[in-house]
Parts: sequence; structure tokens; C-alpha cells
Amino acid sequence: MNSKPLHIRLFDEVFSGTGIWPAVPAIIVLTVVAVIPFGVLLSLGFSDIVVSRGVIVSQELSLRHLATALADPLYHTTFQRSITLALTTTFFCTLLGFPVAYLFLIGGPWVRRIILVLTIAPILTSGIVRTYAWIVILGGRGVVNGVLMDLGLISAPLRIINTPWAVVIGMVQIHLPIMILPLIAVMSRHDRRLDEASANLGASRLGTLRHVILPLSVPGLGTGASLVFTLSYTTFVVPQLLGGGNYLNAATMIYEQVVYSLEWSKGAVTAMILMATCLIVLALFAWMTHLATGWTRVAQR
Amino acid sequence: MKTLSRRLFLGAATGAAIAAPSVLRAQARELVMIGYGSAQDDPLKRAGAELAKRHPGVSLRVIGGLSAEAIAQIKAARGASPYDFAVMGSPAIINAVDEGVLEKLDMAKIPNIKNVDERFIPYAYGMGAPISYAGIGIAYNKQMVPNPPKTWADLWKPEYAGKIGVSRPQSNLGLACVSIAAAAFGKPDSDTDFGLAKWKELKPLVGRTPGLLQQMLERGEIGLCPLWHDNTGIAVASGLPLGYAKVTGPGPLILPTMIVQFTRTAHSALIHEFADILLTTESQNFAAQPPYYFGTTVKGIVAPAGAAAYLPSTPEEVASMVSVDWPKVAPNRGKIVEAFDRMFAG
Repeated sequence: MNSKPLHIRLFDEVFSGTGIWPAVPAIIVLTVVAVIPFGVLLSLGFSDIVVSRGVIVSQELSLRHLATALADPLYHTTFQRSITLALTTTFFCTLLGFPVAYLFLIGGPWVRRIILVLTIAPILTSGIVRTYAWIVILGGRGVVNGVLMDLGLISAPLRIINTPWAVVIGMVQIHLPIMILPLIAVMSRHDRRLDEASANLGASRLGTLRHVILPLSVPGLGTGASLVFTLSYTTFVVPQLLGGGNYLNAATMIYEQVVYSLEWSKGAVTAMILMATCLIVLALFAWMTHLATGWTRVAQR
Repeated sequence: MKTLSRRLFLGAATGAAIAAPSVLRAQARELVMIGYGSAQDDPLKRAGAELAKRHPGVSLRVIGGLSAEAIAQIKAARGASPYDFAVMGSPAIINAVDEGVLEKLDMAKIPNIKNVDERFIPYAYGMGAPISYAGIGIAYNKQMVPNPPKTWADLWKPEYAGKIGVSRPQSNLGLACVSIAAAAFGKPDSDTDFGLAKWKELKPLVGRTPGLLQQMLERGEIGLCPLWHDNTGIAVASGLPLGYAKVTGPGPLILPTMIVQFTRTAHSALIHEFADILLTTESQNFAAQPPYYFGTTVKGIVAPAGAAAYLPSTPEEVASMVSVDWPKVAPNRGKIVEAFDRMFAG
């Protein structure tokens, strides 16, 4: 039996970094900023509330808001739009991000440094600034329309801004580094001798890419896709600025219900649906990643 | 004499460090208000400086934002408002009263209220002091729209098709636009479903806020849109090729702006004094100047010549000056926003 007093043992345990102690600060922060608000959200979503002078004066259990939301065509359209936007963004980020990560793998030290700088630099600036940059580029008098008109390809400016495609373009640019970084992390651990072995066995560069590099990159692709999907699905700023006033996605819908309609229960239900559908898609991504990495796990056993 | 131990000293120092900000704040007496977040805050800041001169240690912090957002923040803070007072238009006042976040101003403590034109008093719904008014007209790009509309119904003429923008109804401007469309075609202001259907016919480009709508106009993405006269005045002063049409039928349309105080403010006396300063002849004359050309509420203030382009100036215009029937429209703001989404984004 340990003969040290309790407070000394506690002190030793905390500062030895064993057990759950190193995670305690994060657990406290998460409890305060995530668990408690989520509890409040649930209680608001599943109840009818009456507010007076800014204070809730009565709260009764009710499934009315959830039932109404699930049957409402506006919700169907809005969530369909949000999921399509997030999946389209994820697709384009994967399509553009993988070649960059591949270049990182085959490139020399300088190429790697340049790729890292170009990937990380945009993250250091505000998303709002980057989104405003797209307004300048895609606007009626922007760079894109200017070049197309100078080349004589169009006679009047195209309307690019305030369309769903402007939102996709902005989202892909904002979230591309989030896709590239996990891929680079996987690529930097890639054993190049496997590529040499593949080449020695007669595989072309493309064959090696397809049968060796791509399968080994699946964990990075899974992580990147999950992050990009989550951020795109719940995004607020880019659709606000690039989509125009009649572009409604789930996050802007929540904002309006809470801020302008002052209907907390509706906003809470929408937020719950957003979170639940996001978790379902993430579970699908995890399952697909698990399936795609099955053979590598077998090989490692 | 008792000696000061190290523990006692450290405890006292820590307590003092924790308490210092609130003690300093209490001594400094900072008033926090919701303003416009732009050049239109100048008259407010000027009045704040005058208040600070009269009461050393008092300062004013003006924070920009839509009134609706401030009401939501106060509701989220369970009535503990992070703001002391605000400039608020009639519809926002109605929404704020519904949420119980406003406290009536005592007009007996605002001596200059006696000089205010009686026509503006009802728009405060007994809650605040009318300090100015803004016009709602049509701002247009002179290069894209050589002949601006003269009436609201003119917007539905084919010559403007594909050039029109409008603000979402979450803002007071957007809400007014829905009612205007109904009134322009002989329906009551409150027939907002009809108003929305008329806007839908125009297939307008929609600005999420009046500010973003104005940016769309400045970038040439739209040729014309309903806009506040003061925003247009500031844009014109910066050299942009914009014009402003004081349209009628209904109109000229105006929206009075009031000083209102939030519940639980600790600075009620100072807020009353601030409102009184804004109603002095000097403050009203300052607010009437370019580039914002605020409409003044105090009797006898002579508007500068340039204001005629933005505000009712002829006796006929002044006589036909109207606002929206806000008590019938503003309480439905949430439903109108939802109906707008069903129609435009659904």
C-alpha cells in the first residue's frame, strides 16, 4: 500500500503525466464549450418555450418542432443543397489536392518546401479576406470577366458571383489546404522502396500510383475528406458572401432562425439535424476508409 | 502593528488584479451603444464627445450592427444586455418590445423633446426619442440606368428587367420593400405575401444585408435597388456614379430613427442626456450635413441644399411623406423571412 498522503499522491500523478490527467484541461474545456451547449440545444429543440424579458418563463417537452422540420419541404431543399455543396467541395478538393500531395512525394526538398509554404500560407489569412478576394476576381468587373471580355469570348460580363458555383469555387479554395495537409502527412511517411519494388516488377509510373501509392494514401484521403466535408457542410461565411441573399444552406438557416426569427427551438432542431446528418456522412466516410484499407491491415499483420 | 505576511500580500494583489478592470470600468463609466458601424455614426460620436465633456470619465463606444442581431444577443444573454442603448428604427422597436428588452425613456428628462416635430413621435411607440429619419428610395447606377423610376410601380417596367436588386427582409430596408411592393399595387402594407410575390416577378438579385446590396450596386452587378438615402449619399460623396430617386406611390418613404435604452442599463440618466444632446439645434444641424444628410426631427432646422436630392424637400413631398404601417408588418418579420426563403431559396 502506498504510504504517501493523498495530496502528495495526487500531485505526483498529475505531474508524472500518467493516467487521464494530461487530458483533464481539454475535457474541462470540451465540457464547457461543447457538452453543456449541446445539452441546452437538445432541451430547446425538444420543448416549447415561452420567453419574457429575455428570460425563459416556461418550457414543456414537445416533439412538435422536430416533426414539423422533418416534414417541411424547405428543410429538404436546404439540407439537400448543403449536402450537395459539401460533397462537391470534397470531390474537387480531393481531385486538386491529391496531385499536389503526389508532387510532394516525388519532388525534391525545395519542391516540398514550396508546396508546404503555398499550402499553409492561405490558412494564415482570414477566411473572410480570402472570400472577399473571390468577389474581386469573380465580380462583374473582376479579373475573370475582364480577361474573357478582352479575349472577345463574351460581350457582356458573366454573372459568376451570387451563384451556387461561386460558392463552390470559394469553398474549394478555402478548404483545399485542409485536404492537402493530411495527404502530405501520409505521403511523408510513404516508403519509396515500395515504388521501386513496383517498378522492378514491371509496373508503369501510373500503375505504381494506382496500385501502390493511392491505396496507401487512403487514410489521408479519408481524414482530409472528413475534415473538408464537415467544414463545408457547416460553413456560414462563404455562402453568405458569395452565394447572394437567396442562397440558403443549413448554417445560414440556423443563423436566421435564431437571430432574425428569434425562434430558438426551430434553430436548435435545425442544428440537431445538421449534426446528425453530418455524423451519418462521417460514419460512411469512416466505413469506406476502413473497407479501402482492409488489405493493408492484412498485410501488416 | 501587524506585519503583512507574504501570503496576505499575494492574496490582496491577486484580488486587486482581478477586481481592477471592473473597478476601472465603473469609474470610467463607458456607455455601449448599437449604431450604424459606418460614417453615419459621426453625429452619435459627436454627441458622445459632448457628454464626455460634461461628465469627465464618461465615454461612448458605438458598435455597428443590425438591431435584430442586437435583440438576439440580448435574448441569448437572458436579458443581461451587453449594450446600454441603441439607435433603432420603428420595426426593430416593435420586435424589441415583443421580446421585452427595452425600457421606456422618460420624456420629462429630455427637455429638447418639446422641439421635435409631432409627426415623428408616434413612430417611437412610446419607447424612445426620435432623433432623425432616413429616406427609402431607389439608388441607381447612372451608367446602367439613364432614366430612373419615378414611382415604385415603375420598377416592374420591362426596361429595368434583369438589373434590379433587393435586400432580404431580415433588415428594416428589406422588410419595407416587401410592404412597398404590396402598397404600390393597391394592397395594404400588411399583405406581405402579395408583396413577396410581386418581388418574385422581378427575379431580383438579393443582397443579404443593405450593405452587401450596396456593394452589388457599386460593383455593377445590379443597376438599381431600394436603398437608404444616407448610404447612397455616402457612396455618391466617395465618387461613385450613383444617383438616388425619391420615388412615390407610396412615398416619399421614410423611417424615423429613435434612441432607445435596453433593460437593466446602469446609465439611464446619461442616456437621457445623450438623447437630449442629439436633439439640440447644433447636433441636428451637424446630422443634416453631407455626406449622410440625415433627415432632422427638430422643428425649424433648415436642410442644406444638397439634401433635396435625397429627402422630401418641396411642400408637396413633405405633405405626402409616409412610413410603413409597422405595427402590422414588423411582428411578422420571422414569418416574412421564412416565406421569402420558401419563395426565393426553396
